[in-house]
Amino acid sequence: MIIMNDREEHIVLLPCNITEDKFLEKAEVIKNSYFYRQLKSIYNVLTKSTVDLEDEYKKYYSEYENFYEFLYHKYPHLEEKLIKIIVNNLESGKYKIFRGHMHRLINYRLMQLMEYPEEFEEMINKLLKAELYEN
Amino acid sequence: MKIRTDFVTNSSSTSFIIITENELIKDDFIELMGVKKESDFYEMMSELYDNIKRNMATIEDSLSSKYWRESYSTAEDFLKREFSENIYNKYLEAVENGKKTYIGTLSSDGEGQLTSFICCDHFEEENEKIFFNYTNCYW
Repeated sequence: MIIMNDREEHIVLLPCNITEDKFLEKAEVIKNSYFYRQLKSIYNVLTKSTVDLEDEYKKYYSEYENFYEFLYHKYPHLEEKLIKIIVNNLESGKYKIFRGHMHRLINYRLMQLMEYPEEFEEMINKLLKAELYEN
Repeated sequence: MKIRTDFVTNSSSTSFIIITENELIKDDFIELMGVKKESDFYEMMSELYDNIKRNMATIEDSLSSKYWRESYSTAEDFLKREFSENIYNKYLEAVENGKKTYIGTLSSDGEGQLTSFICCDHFEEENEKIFFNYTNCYW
């Protein structure tokens, strides 16, 4: 699940078992084709040069009682309902959470595609569900 | 002097060339672009195909229309000026092999998410069925 941030950061919940190859295979795109290359760029932006937020919390923000409190105070734009969903997903052990700078790393055209047609982001989010990568 | 204070929008358009054995077939085009039928992205690509299909015609028909005739006298003139010598040679080869050559223009103001997206891109894709040159982008 991708969550855009008003500081131009993105937060993403990624399945623990996801890899670039598996992501592209689940997207049902033909290797090295035009659309394969676009989705590969999106995957790279979501997963490369990112910071593991749980690690960051443990190392630098232990003053917060738990990860929920950390998210609540450090990311005030996140609704409580969404924080609960994030925490539940992390507790399932099937996801990891990262923050990155999608806006800076992704090219303008892809960013537009990610932002405006909501269906496109929904399709990407479908590909980021842990159950797709079990077994 | 008029000063515009709200958003200024910017559109782009791209001329393209498609060479195929026969008619352009939807599934062949979507396969060329890399999306399988089972993919969630199929519908989106299908929309792009519809826009391309709607905005293309054979090079012969296009160049005989008033719109193109005013700027270009022959296919050679059009292809060399708008694309390149290589594309003109590709066209000659297509004619020799009885293939069809289509040309058209897409605008980012047109319908569809992918149409707007690819209007700001430039690329060339080819497989055994279709040659698609989309490099003539003004953005």
